[in-house]
Amino acid sequence: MESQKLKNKKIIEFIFWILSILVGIVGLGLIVSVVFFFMTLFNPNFEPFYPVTEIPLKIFENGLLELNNGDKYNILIDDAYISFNINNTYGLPGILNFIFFELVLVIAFYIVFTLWKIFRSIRNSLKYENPFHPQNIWRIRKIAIAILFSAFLNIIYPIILKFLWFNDVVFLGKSFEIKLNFDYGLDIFWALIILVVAEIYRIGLEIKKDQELTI
Amino acid sequence: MPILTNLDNMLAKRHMSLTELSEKVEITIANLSILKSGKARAIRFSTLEAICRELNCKPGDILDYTPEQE
Repeated sequence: MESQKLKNKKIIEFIFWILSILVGIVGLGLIVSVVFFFMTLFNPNFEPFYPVTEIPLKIFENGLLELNNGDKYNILIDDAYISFNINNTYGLPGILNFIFFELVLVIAFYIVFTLWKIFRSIRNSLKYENPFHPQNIWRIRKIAIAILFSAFLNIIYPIILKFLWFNDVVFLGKSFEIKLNFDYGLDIFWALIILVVAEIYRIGLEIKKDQELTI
Repeated sequence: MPILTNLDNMLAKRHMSLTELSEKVEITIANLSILKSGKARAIRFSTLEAICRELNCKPGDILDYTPEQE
C-alpha cells in the first residue's frame, strides 16, 4: 500500500512538472506571436513563418499509392488541407487570421494553465491524501468549456473566410472550393467526457464531505 | 436537518465538559463540536455507544427528531 502511494505521488509530480514546462512553452509562444504580429504591422516586409492557416479543400481526385516494395494501387484523394501565411498585408482577412490564431493559442494556454492548477492542488494535498477541492470541479468544467469554444472557432473560421474572402484555390491547373470542416465536432465529444469527469469529481467531493462529517 | 442533538443538555446534567467527554470517548473536541452544533451528517454506532456509556444515557436522550416544516 505504501509503495503504491509513493508511486502515485511520483506520477503526480511527473505530470505536474510536464505541465509546468508546457505552461512556459505555450506562454512564451503567446508573447512571441504578439511581438511578431506588431513587428509585421509596422514593417510589412517582415514576414515570419506564422500565423499559418489551414483551410480544408473540397477535393475528389484519383491518385496512386506506392508501397515500399514498389507495388502501386489506385486511391481516391477526398480530403486535403492547404496552409499559407496571412499577415496584415492581406487586409481584414489577415487581421482576422491573426485574431483567430491568437484566440486558439490563448485557449490552449488557458487549458494547460488550468490543468496545471488542478495538478498543483492535487500535489499540495498529497500529504493529507485528499485531492478533492471544490475549486477543481469548476476548473475541470472550464477546461470542457474552453475545448467547446475552441471547436466552435475551428468550425466557424473556414466558413467566415469562405464568405468573406476566398473563392477557389487553384493548383495543378485545377480549381478547388473551400470545404466546411466539421472534424472538430469530435472535440465536442471530448468536452462532454470531461464534463462527466467533473460530475464524478463533484460526487467524490460530496462523499468526502459526508465522510469528514461522520463522527 | 430533522435530527437534532441534545449533547449539551446531557453534558450539563452529568456535570461534564466537552473536553472531559472527548478524553473519555477518545474523539477529538473538533469532532464532538461538530456533533454538538448539529453539523454532523452521520454518526457511527461505535461513537454513539461510547457517548451513551460515558454519559450513562440512551441514544434517545441525546438525539431527537423534528420533521422539517414544508
